[in-house]
Amino acid sequence: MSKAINIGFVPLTDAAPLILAVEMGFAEEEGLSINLVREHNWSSVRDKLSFGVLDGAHILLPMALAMSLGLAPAPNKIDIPIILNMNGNSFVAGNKLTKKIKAVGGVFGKTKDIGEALITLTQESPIRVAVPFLQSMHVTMLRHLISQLGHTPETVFDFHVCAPSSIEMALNTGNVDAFMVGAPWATNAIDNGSGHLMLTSNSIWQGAPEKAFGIRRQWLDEHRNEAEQMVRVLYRAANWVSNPSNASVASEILSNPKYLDLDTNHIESNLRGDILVKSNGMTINEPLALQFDAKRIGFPWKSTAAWIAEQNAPYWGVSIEDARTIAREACRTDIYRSALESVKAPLPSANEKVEGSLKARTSVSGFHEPIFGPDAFFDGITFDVA
Amino acid sequence: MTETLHIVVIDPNKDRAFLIVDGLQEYSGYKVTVVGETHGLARKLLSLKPDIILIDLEDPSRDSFEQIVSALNAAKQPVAMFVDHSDQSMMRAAIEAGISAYVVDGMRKDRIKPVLETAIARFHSFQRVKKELETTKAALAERKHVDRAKGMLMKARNLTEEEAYSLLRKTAMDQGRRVSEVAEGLLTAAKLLL
Repeated sequence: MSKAINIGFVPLTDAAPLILAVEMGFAEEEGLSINLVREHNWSSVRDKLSFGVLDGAHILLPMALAMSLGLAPAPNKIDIPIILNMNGNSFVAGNKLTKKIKAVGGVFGKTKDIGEALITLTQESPIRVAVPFLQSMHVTMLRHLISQLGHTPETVFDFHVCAPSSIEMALNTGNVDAFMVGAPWATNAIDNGSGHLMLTSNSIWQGAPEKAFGIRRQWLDEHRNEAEQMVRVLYRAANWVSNPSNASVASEILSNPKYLDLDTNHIESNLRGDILVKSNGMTINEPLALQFDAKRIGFPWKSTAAWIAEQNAPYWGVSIEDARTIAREACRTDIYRSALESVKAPLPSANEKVEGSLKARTSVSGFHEPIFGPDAFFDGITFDVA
Repeated sequence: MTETLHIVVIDPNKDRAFLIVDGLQEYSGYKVTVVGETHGLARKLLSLKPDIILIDLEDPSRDSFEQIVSALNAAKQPVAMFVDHSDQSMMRAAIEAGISAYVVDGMRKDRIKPVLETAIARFHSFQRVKKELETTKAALAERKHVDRAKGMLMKARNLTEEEAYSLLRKTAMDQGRRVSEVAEGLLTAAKLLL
């Protein structure tokens, strides 16, 4: 067996493919030895990747792109050979903000409605929103929601960076009015009566990737074979997690003190697509809210990353041209393809698509069932990077 | 005569913070302030005007701290993230020790080096002390198990202390386990049976 690969993860439900790759023996079957390292903040993931203390990590996709664009203390190219999950973040209003939204007639769960209600409420002062990191899909999605409704995101949202484990406290102490956070933290907070679900991230963009498997380009260049093995292992583990009949075993493992160290119940319900709306137990089942199904969502579309980088470019102080180029380079569709050809994974004919154009699941040659999509934006826009 | 550098150590762990303060005392020209509470950090940092900030890499509030530091930076406060490509090995050593450092833009390298070296050394020695303490605690707990298991055997099987201990040791050897594990197993079994 080769030397162990050092992989970092942050304790969140969407680290599941990595954790289960190790725990369910997928890595061992490939002859891979993975040393999982739990990290307590995203800055630490970034710095350890930069200096090679970690070879790869469970990473916020925008953060990986920002690193490749040189926006880190010690910049390093980070490549993305596979996406770990799609969506999974929840936008939650504290009890005070909930009342205000209702007072202006905002309807919870309706994307445009919530956006417009927040814009109306901003006439007093910006809504303070806790997010785990600025270079994140959380921030990217919320900005998109507001700018597509014709307003400037900075006047509507005042983002406060806050670790997921203290995000509920930030709400309860009145430091913020709302938060956007991944599973299982939103359901935990709602169950405690701290807030009310406004939106799940898929209702802003159905095709939004959330965490990627990020790997140092330098490491990848030197370990092409292991990188492909890693992609196969994650692909199999993610498909396993996405099967509802594995949800109870998966959540049992994830809840272990050395991984998430949290109660199993909410992890399990989120894995089944059940999202808590209110503390009274009202739940919606939304299979698109958190997707792990690698055969549908694993492919690292260059166009998807290009859109995300382009949205962030003005905030990051980089040119749109550079953002697009670096994002396309970082998505290693070549590794994904060569790793998964042998296991007959569905592979699209191109590396780019018109983002937002798939209104329903679409088929891919060689497969009877429809595979890719939907990837619609709430406002119906499309984005063609070509 | 060089100006005094103000170092702020953000660490809720007082013992570790004081190890760093202590370590820097042998150098002149440094003033160290320890901040244990991250609440209201932005205001504190504005008034403290640090030249160097040291923070635990593993601190869950570090992402919030980064936002604060970049906000200070935008307000032309003299705090910038440590970017020193010429000394990668030093930064890697700091990260492996669990420290992240933020330094005023354009500060002379020879002034940063002793601070980081001291912090790295003190973080490591703190880890060692912690490890020793944990090991000692575990050893004491094991001894307690062994003592109680011995007592139980002496009573139940009418053995002397020495006989009871050799029985535990023999069982451990036969099963390829540690004496304390056998003792613990016996205590658990006894709890279920009696």
